[in-house]
Amino acid sequence: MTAKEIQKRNVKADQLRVMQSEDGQFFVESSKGKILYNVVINEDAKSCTCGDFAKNSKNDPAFKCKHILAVENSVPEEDIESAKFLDKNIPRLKDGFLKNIKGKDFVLYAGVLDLATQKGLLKLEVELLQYPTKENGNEAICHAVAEGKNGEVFSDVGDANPGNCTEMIAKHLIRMASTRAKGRALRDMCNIGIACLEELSDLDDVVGSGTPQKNSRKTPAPKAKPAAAAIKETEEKKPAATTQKASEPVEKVNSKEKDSKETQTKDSKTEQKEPSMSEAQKRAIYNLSRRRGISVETLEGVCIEDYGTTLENLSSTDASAFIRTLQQAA
Amino acid sequence: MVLSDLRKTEHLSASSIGTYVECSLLYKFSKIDKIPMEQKSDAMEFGSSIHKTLEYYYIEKMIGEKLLLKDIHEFFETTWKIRAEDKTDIGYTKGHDFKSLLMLGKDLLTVWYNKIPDDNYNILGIEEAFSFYLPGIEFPFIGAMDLIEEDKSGTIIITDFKTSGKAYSKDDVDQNQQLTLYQLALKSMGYVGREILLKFDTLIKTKTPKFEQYWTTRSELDEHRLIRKAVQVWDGIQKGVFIPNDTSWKCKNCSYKVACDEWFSERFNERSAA
Repeated sequence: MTAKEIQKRNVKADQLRVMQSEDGQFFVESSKGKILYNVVINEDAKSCTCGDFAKNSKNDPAFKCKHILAVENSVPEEDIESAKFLDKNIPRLKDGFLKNIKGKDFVLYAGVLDLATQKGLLKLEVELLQYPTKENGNEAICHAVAEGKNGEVFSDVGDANPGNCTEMIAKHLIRMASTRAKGRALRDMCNIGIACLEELSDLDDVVGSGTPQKNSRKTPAPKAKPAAAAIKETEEKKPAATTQKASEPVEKVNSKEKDSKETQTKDSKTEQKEPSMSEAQKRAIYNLSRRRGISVETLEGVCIEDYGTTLENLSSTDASAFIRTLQQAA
Repeated sequence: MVLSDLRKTEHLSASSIGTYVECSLLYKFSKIDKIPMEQKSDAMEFGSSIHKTLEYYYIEKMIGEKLLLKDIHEFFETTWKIRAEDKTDIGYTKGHDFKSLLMLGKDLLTVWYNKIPDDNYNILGIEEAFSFYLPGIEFPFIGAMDLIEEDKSGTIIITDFKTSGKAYSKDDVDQNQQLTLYQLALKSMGYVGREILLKFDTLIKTKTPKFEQYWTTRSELDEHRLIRKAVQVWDGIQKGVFIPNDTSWKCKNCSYKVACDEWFSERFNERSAA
């Protein structure tokens, strides 16, 4: 294989989407996105299911088609064994960073930052515009500027005063103003319309002030207990004063509002009934889609359209239904 | 209880339902008259040897040992030799003999070994025998599930090991009644309400050997269809309805060809005498 041939194929390879299924196989989408080619790279040999490889590898065992090159260009050879999903992944907001409180969605600052990083956040700067003093009502104002890899710039301001923060956060007004400013700038950069949880003025009303409790759909909810017992336990666990990280996913029961506690308990029960898609279900979905010739991109699109969420965040029930749909697909 | 014990009693199975539907006279010869097969097919003996090897691999995996490919080759070679070396009752298909199938087996196992996903599912059972009754059928359904696993979320995965001459079609996978029966069996074992996924791990005997996993599921309607079919088959067996399907492409290599020809000629001789 000549250098010119490699270069020619490398140029084409750069445009191809590479992915690795859960069972460790590499798949490279055709340039038109209609077919997935299976690329096998191991110590002994490299192969691809495309026609170019079949034709040329007979005479040249070292031949590399553009699909093999695409895999090699995406993952360093020594990392192939441990690679999961390759660099062509679409940036997305991870489900664990979304919070639904009283029926309204909020995003955590950590999630916005994560997404911005995926999108190529190059620089994030904050300037303190106003120091909190008695004269200005102890209001801190910060200005944040975010710069993306392509040079695009987004900026916004954030404010924090004892009136729009919880009692605990009131001691850290500058930091909160900074977080809010950065959150707003990054939300613009990532085109996220929903507010950051940290922007809420009455955080205490919606999340309470008890023990921080990580929220994740993947973590099974505690086994169902009588509502009263669950409430009692929550109250007993509540410490006198706890430092709370604003970026930490938090969900607590408001000790003042019994109704909201009961709702919370019900929500936990609902979560129990809706566990996340299992590993095996995910593998089945990838297997079926591959057999049906459905690209990962199409798969994601269908998933969002039909179930309103990304493939990774499907519930077990939805995954089950999706498997049936894929099974019936021609 | 192991499958060989269960087989000692009157029973039905996924394959016997299939056999009855395809050629009920063949069912009669093998299951009712219990006529020994005139010859064993090489594909069946070969498939059983591969099957035994995979079973061995998973038994070792369950106890925490990851076998090396050379161990797997050795086990297969021993198994294949016991089953096929110097055996005259095996009918080899054109282009195959003991040695060529030994080589093919090793090639297939190499591909399988290199492609089998390194998942960490919890192994619940290997060659797990079952026996359960379906409504309206007096005999139990028996069988053995090659591999039962459970993932971290509690999804159950039933795997059936296969060797095949060609890749499976969508219908081969989605309409396979053996997997439907396995799902019914699993539910009878107390797994009702669990997410159940089914798959074939298929070693494909193409010129370039391949390994393919085919995942599938079964709905309650699929289960109902199988039960309806099984009840009809049972009814036919009870009433002694055994119709030969002598236009099938399978007749050529049937293990009861002589018995079948004799069955046809019985009435012919009676008519000639009259």
